[in-house]
Amino acid sequence: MNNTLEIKNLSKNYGDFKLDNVSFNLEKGFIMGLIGPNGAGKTTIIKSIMNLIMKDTGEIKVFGKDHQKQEIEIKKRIGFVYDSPNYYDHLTLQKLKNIIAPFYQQWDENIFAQLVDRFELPLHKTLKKFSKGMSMKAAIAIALSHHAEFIIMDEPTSGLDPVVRRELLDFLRGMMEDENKSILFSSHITTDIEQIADYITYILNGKLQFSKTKDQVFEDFAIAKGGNDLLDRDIEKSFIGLRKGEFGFEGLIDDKALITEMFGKEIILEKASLEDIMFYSKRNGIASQLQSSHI
Amino acid sequence: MIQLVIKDFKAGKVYLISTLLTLVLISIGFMLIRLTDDTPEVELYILVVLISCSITARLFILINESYQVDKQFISLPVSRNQMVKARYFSSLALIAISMIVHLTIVLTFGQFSQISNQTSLSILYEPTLWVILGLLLVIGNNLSYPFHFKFGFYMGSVISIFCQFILLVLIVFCAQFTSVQNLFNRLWEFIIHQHEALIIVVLVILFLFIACLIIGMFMIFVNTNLLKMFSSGSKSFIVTILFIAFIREIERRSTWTHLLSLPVSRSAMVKSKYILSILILSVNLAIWVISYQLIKGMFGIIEYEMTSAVVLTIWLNLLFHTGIFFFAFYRFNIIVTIGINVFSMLIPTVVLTITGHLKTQALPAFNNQFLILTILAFSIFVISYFSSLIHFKQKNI
Amino acid sequence: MKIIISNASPEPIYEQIANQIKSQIISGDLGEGEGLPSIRKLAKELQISVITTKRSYEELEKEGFIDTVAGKGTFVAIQNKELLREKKMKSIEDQMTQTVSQAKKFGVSLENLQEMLHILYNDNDE
Repeated sequence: MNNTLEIKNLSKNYGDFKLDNVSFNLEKGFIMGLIGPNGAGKTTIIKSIMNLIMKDTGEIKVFGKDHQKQEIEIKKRIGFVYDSPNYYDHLTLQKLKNIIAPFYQQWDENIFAQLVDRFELPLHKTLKKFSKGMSMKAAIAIALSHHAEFIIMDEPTSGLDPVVRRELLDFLRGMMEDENKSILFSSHITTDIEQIADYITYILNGKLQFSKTKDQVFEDFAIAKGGNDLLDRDIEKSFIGLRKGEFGFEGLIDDKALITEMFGKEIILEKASLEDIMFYSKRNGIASQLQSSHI
Repeated sequence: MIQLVIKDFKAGKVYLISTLLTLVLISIGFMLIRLTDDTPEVELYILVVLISCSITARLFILINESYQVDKQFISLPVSRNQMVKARYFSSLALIAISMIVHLTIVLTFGQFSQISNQTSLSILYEPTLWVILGLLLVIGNNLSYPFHFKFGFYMGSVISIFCQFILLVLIVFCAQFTSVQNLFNRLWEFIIHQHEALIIVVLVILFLFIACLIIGMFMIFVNTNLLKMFSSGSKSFIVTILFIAFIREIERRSTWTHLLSLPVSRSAMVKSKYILSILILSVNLAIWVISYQLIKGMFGIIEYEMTSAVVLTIWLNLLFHTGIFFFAFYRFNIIVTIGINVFSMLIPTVVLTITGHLKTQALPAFNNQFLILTILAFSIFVISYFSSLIHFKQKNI
Repeated sequence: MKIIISNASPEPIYEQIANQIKSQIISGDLGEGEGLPSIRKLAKELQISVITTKRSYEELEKEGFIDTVAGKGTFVAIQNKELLREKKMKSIEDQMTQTVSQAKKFGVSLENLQEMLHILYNDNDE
């Protein structure tokens, strides 16, 4: 069983929003970043995996097991972190730990103590007084103290200051030295994902745009810049997204070879950031032929 | 599943203890006030037991909803089934605990103050009574669960208290036609001498209990969004009651930051709340008066005459409570506010008892007692208003 | 072992790593049989994706520079002396090809080039 997570044809209809036939896998030992604009369906996917929402159709397997039929077994090995910690804030971290720990057979006091130490969290201060960064660290400390093999996080870094974000990303990266751990996290802070993810899955309007390695994403896409005189109707179609300014255009392409062939030196090609990709594809999405190029 | 129940107790320890203390006070208080005089009102005490236990049963649900923790716990290795069962168990445990508290008070305090010797109060010492109360609480509690899960805490509580009330009213209504003055005695005698009937009642209630458990689970499974279910208190459409109207604001102080960015002054905010509450309560009172008149017109079986003195007394009581409510509203969180409200409902009764006016069964009239009440109510209201004004103006949000 | 990655460079990161390791092996800074960090350790230290480091190691393995032994780790492959000398020569040859084409472009004659080579070579001795 090499895939920590397998999602096949996941669909969920909410009336005015629909998650439509999403499929992707996450191999053991890697980090996958789930990106997409707000409301694209990232949280819906995550909640479906955790069975917080009932999916309409599709199959989800975690550790090779069905996520509903063996829900409890799976959850014993998953650490889950919400974007806003929802615990009793009148309790202290110590008391909260005493409530949560008995739920897990594999709870490890040593790991918890180490993490609390490392994150410099006060054990006897009420959670209400924790800053956002501290609450997130506390949530992570709890999620990681039961030997979880799969960590799922929904927007873990939103609302955190840059220093704390960096610390958290470093920490997660450190975790990945263990090849038995996998991480799935959704974020709309694309720079975080660019920094840390091995695989990137892009969801737009409830549909999967692509799910591939980070390297592959940056190899496939590029920003092309040139003068407006180069454009005509047909050429514009080969762009995923295009912005025409007064002095020139800028657009996202997924076929560097073709564009270089057509324009050679008249066009400048630059590396496209995830933000660029999301921005230019927001209207029409990414064409289907490049959806899944898993190595 | 047990862990889920334990977590409720662990997390709500402080709240539970304060609630139980309140129960003890209520129990002793009412025994003192209502039962140690010449015409003891057992029915009222029984009603108090019923309502206080019903409210206590909801404590953990209230806590869970205030802190929105269900979302978090569902990501732990527990199934939805377990969460439903744990919910039922917790509230049953709370019903049991609160009933034990009352029972203990009755037995110990009752012995102490000679209440146990009075024949008219012998009902309190019939085990059957407590069994029936327990079952009533359990039914009302269970019937409300599907509503708790679908509509949130407030709707569920309303349904629960409503069901229990309806059941009780039905019993009273039936008893009316047997033209017996003290209906409960009659009912108890009937049941005590008819053990088979009791068994049937118990079986029916057990069946209802199981049916509600099943319905509750079914509703969860059918409901597609667990999170929405656990946090959809906003669906409750009872906004005319003061408490419910402002409870959201207590829970989410962030609404204040939004409101204060508008061109309104803080004193305007406070003033508008007080005025709005008086308006809401007055309208409610008016509705009640109208309903009373209608029922009187239709059935003609109501004993008390609703004079203007009565209406004004009630209005003054409401004024008093509004003052207390807002005092707590601006300072404390939701659970403390509820607690303070409960206390404030007891205070007038306690005061009147101490001044010796409650023991006489006289109806409210424009007398000295009325004057005292008026002064008290207005002073509390005004003090609360100005205190809230000052507090809110300086409050760091 | 020393690896410095440039984000600004047009060269893909996996290539940068592979090339740097390659030159260190060729120059002898990384000795035969010397252990290399695991792909995950390298990824963590360089703050890049595991897949990238995996790819560079795969390249290096394909070209015979390193060997991965299951359960033990990754090591610099025992270099065939001939092959190593050939690789070193190839590396110098590549550089010289670049220099020659530049010289031709700027119109530097063969004699001038040889003179420059002479001076530089002797300079290095001191």
